[in-house]
Amino acid sequence: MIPLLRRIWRYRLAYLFVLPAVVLVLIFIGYPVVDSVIVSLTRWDGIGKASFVGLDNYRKLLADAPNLLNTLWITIEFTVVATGGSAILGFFLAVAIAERVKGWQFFRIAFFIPILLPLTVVGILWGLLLDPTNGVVNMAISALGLPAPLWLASTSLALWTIVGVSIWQYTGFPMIVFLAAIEDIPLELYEAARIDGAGGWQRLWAITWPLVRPVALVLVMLQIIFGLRTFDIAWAMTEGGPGTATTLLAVKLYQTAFLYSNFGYASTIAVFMIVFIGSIACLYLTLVRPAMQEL
Amino acid sequence: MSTVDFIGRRRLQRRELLRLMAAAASTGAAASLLGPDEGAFAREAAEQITLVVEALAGGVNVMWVTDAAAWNKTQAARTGIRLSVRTPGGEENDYKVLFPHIAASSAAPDMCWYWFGGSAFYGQMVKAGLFLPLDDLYQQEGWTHVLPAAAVSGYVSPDGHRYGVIDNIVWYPQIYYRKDAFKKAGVKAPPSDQPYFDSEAEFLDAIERLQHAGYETLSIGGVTTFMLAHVQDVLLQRMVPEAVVKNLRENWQPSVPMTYKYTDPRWLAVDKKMVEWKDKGVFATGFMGRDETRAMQLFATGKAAMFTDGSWASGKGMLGGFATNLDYGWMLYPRMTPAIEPKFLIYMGNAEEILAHGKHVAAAKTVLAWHMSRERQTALAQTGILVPARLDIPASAMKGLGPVGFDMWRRLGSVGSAIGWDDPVPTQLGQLNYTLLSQLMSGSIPPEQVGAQLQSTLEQIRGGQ
Repeated sequence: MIPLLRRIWRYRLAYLFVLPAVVLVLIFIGYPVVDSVIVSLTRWDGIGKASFVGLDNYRKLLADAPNLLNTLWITIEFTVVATGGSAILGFFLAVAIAERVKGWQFFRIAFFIPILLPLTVVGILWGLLLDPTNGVVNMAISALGLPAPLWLASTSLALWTIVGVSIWQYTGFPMIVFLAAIEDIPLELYEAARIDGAGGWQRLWAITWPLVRPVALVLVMLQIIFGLRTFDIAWAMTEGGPGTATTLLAVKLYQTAFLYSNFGYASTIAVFMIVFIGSIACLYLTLVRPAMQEL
Repeated sequence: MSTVDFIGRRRLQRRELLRLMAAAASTGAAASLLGPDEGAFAREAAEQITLVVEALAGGVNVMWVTDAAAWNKTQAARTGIRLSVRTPGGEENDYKVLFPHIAASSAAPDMCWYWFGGSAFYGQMVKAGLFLPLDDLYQQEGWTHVLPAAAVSGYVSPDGHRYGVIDNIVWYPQIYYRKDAFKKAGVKAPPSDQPYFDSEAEFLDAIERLQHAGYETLSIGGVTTFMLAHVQDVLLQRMVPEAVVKNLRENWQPSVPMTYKYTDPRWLAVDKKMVEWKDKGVFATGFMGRDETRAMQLFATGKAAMFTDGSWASGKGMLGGFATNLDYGWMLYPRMTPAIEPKFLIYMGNAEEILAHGKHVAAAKTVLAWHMSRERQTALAQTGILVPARLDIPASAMKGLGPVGFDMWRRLGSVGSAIGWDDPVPTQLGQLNYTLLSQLMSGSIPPEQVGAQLQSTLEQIRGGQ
């Protein structure tokens, strides 16, 4: 204890600088997490008084395992494809912009703009564009003589439509991050490779990719975390439907808390989400740590 | 510029900056002491209060905004009360589920518009002591004599008090049709004195003709799940005897015997009919991916021949507002069996409440009494925003509803009305039904599973869980 206090005293200025951040984390993350755990042990409609029910909500969660697994699977599908899609597309867009393709200034702004749009606007915009009868997308498809898909009304297509919209909206973020990383790579490396006769693809895989890989690993982890807790886009576009086709974990949590007025059980789902997302993040870090240390 | 000048100017700038910061800080402190509302009306603070009413966007909000303008113009100076309307963000469903938490918080308004009945959270809010009993106002204003008897008796809470008062009525769901589409398809609309097709076969024949004429058929918002529940409700009225519906509407209370279950073939027949209609193309293509607004747009733009929604859809907030060139009529859902007369489904749960822990309870009572007065309700009817619940409003005032709204209103008496299942049942059952209907209509689960899950929830509610 004494050495710890001595250490704190020795680095008191550094600790002082860290203190505001720690306090904020405790207030805005620590407290809600602890409160969620407490509420998960109660039966509470969110309005009246809560009553302690012990582990009843956790038993219910286990009993509801088939439904929960279905929701979990939908969430994982969404996360993997949306993360992979936006990261890959973002990388290639960044490379193209770094290579100064024709109109690169336009693309750099155009692909970043969707991030700035509010989710409700995105939901309404794509809802109109993808309307089976009135939407521009299906009008164009029908004009080509092809069958018009039911983008948001089909249980087999709705999730992938939302994934597509999510990729459209968030690709700008990895693009900007990759672009910053690529522009940090010394030009001499490319010049040397060019002198040695390396082509465009060889320079990409032998120089660009290895040097931006640490950024990619961190970026993918962040995107996975964002993906697993996604709520807004699914709610704005389909409210989790049709049926349960786009009911992601966070949508289920919202429905349980607010639609069914069951805050106790919703908090149990929240605790499950914290554990699940935390586990995925730890697993990912364990898997990629050797790769990061190599660099 | 010499170094000395530069340093001198920098010092001066710093001093000015400090002075400015001090002035800003003192202004901020003074503003925070005054508070956000009082700051703006500091001079009037001693004699004037601002009463906040929270009202859902749409017709209700337009009604309160109109009322607030009238009050502030004619009553504010005399009473010292200013009326301010707060409009929540989001859609109807968001307001339904989120407002109870706002009402329980320190950001609660003084008064609000909120649904009376089961599928919203009125019961829980009353139980949590959020609303003020209005028994004295009922007596003082004679509301028991001028409001529909069903609403007056229905508004008594289990503790014997009334916590809300109905100010307008709606009926649901109607079918609005485009006259040009019907003409092109050769469909003859039902006559005004019997505003429905006399059989399901006639209705399906009209659907087929409209399809052949190149129209999308009945536009409905499947994402707005209450719209599906309203169709289910109207089919219940037309397919299932009232005794069965009544028992299913009330048997969540342990004191009412569970004579009928949700696994009853008659209940299941309704859900099966909805699926059958979907398969026959009664509903517009892709309806499960549309919300209420986009469903209405499909109709207003001429792609769909029909649109289904409540009476509010013909009001100024919806079709009556933006589709001024739209020539459309209305009808009820068809007769489904010869034994049961089709009726309007009436909803009498559009209620006004006063928050018990509001800052200005007495002022809120004054405003509510004024809002509910015959004069004020007549004025509101004339604007065509909503249909007042008061029974003593002159018929001439209802012409403000527009031709479609007025025609529906005047047929209420001759066609008759019934109460649906969707609104009186408890929240857990009503909300679960929304989710299950979405699954049913998207083909994820069969009607039997819908019935079984509703029954299981019903038994949990009866068991006090």
